[in-house]
Amino acid sequence: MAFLYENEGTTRTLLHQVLEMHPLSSPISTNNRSRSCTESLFASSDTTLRKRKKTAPVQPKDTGGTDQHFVEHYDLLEKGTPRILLKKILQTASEDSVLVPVLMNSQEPVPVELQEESKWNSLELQLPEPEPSASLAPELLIHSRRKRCLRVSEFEQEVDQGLAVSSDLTGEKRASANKSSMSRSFNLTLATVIPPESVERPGLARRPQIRKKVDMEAFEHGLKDIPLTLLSDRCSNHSTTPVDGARSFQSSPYSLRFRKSLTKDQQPRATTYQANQRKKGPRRAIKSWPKSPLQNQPPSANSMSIRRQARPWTGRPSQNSYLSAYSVLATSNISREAVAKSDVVYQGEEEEERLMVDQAEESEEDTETPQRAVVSELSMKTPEFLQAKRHRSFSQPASLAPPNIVLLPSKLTQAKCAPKRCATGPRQPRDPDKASLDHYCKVFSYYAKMPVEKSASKTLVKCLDQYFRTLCDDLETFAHHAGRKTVLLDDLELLMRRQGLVTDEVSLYVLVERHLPLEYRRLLIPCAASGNSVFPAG
Amino acid sequence: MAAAAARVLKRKAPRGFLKRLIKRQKPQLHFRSGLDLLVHLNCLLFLHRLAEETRMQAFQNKSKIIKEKHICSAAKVILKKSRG
Repeated sequence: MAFLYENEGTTRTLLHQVLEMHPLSSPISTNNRSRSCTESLFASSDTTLRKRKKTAPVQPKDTGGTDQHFVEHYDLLEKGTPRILLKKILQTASEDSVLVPVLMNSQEPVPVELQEESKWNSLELQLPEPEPSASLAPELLIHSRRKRCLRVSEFEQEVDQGLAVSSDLTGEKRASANKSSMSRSFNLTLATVIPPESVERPGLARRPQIRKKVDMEAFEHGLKDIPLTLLSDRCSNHSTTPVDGARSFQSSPYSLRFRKSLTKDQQPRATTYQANQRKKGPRRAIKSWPKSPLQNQPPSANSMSIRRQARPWTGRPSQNSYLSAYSVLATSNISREAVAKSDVVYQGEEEEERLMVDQAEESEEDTETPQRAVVSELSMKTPEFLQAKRHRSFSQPASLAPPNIVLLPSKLTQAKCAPKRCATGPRQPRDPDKASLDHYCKVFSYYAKMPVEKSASKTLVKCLDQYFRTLCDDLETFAHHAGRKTVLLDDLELLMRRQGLVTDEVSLYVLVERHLPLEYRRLLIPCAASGNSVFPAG
Repeated sequence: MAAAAARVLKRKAPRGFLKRLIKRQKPQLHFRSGLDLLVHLNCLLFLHRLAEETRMQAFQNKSKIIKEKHICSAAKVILKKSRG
């Protein structure tokens, strides 16, 4: 039986040997042979193997026993069909494909094999080899192959689950190439070797769902870990900095501290973030931001910032707020907005290329103090988020593509709430926003009368976001100046006048008539109607 | 051009989107019914000015396609103008 000990033999040769050794006609002889085969083939330290080995020596004692032989014979008879399958395998599968998946197969069949160990006592060929080794590869292949043939339905299910898990693992951790290649090759081999069973298997359909779930969970963990630490850092950093309205003060220390905090360890942030999260409810929106800016290069970061800005965050990157963030733990809404602002600010500070940030900084002068206080708290959060996002991006670089940036914020927002929702959640907030922004992109391209690049549209979205932010701030300032809490038409007209759109020659109504469709014109311009009434109400 | 104009002008102003945007930024503000239309008008005019400026920038660079840098440099000017 020297050939049995040859680990270098190819799987095919081994399979052939195995098949030759186990003819259907002689159960008793095959039992003996199988036992010897098992003993020789089992080189692994697996417990199941050991068990088998134990059973193997036990069996010789009962050579005269009829029951065992009958069982073995029965098993051997059952082997007939797997035998046929094995032959099929040899015929169809190529050697290359055979070898690779062995490692994966050996891992996955382990649970199945363990369960059915009692059944297959006589089947030495089962080999749950968790440790893939080159020397054991051919043997493993044989064992796994046999296993697959023998318990197709159960094995397939297990394999599918294992595959899903392994695929998730590979997707998540970028695990060793072995696993990924094995899983891939495993899929391939399964498909080629057992066509009828693959039809029954819905494995591939199942996989993406599981993958998403795992990703979300990991993401949540990452998020939880990172922000907590960030908060603690912030507290330590900014405990002594007073809320200062001076922009210069804000800019320099802010940037310095921000950079310092970013470079610091992220673990304390995670803890602080968690603490903050417990205090404040919905800060999901913040999550989305940190990820995008930190991870990517300036252009992608720009696009990301655009997306972030797409969310209507208060456009007040108040550095002051950032400095004094700690003391204020405002309501979640305000904090969210502040984080958005601070996030935006961070982006500008970091990159120092974006004109948006410059303009945002300029607009900081207009920020009101109460907002600043609120924003400070949020700005605290943003670096955490940024850190969290950074980690997240590392784990999932693929998801950082610019078009998915919008998706990220929504995903992050819901990550804490329910991981499952992340798969479908981002859709709803993203689509209407994107639709409107695309609408504005089209308007722009129409006005420009020239083709616009795809990347340019992202810049456009960023500009639009910035514009919206300043617009809202201005409107609020005007309303507040008038002692009102409601924005009226007069505020908008004043804004347009200040913008230079409405002049003494050009009145607001002229613009309305020029650019808006008829239905809107009727609503906006008070027209005299019959019966001494004016529509709309003056 | 006429078809494009008709297409552009026929589009409704995304009133819900605008309202949501502003509410998110300033939840404490109340808005009149016709205001989001004027905001939309403001956006259109802003885009108009931006497009003009971007087109000029592209012409200066002798390129027939609008690129990011054109928009960036144009936005710098226009945003400053629309600060009010």
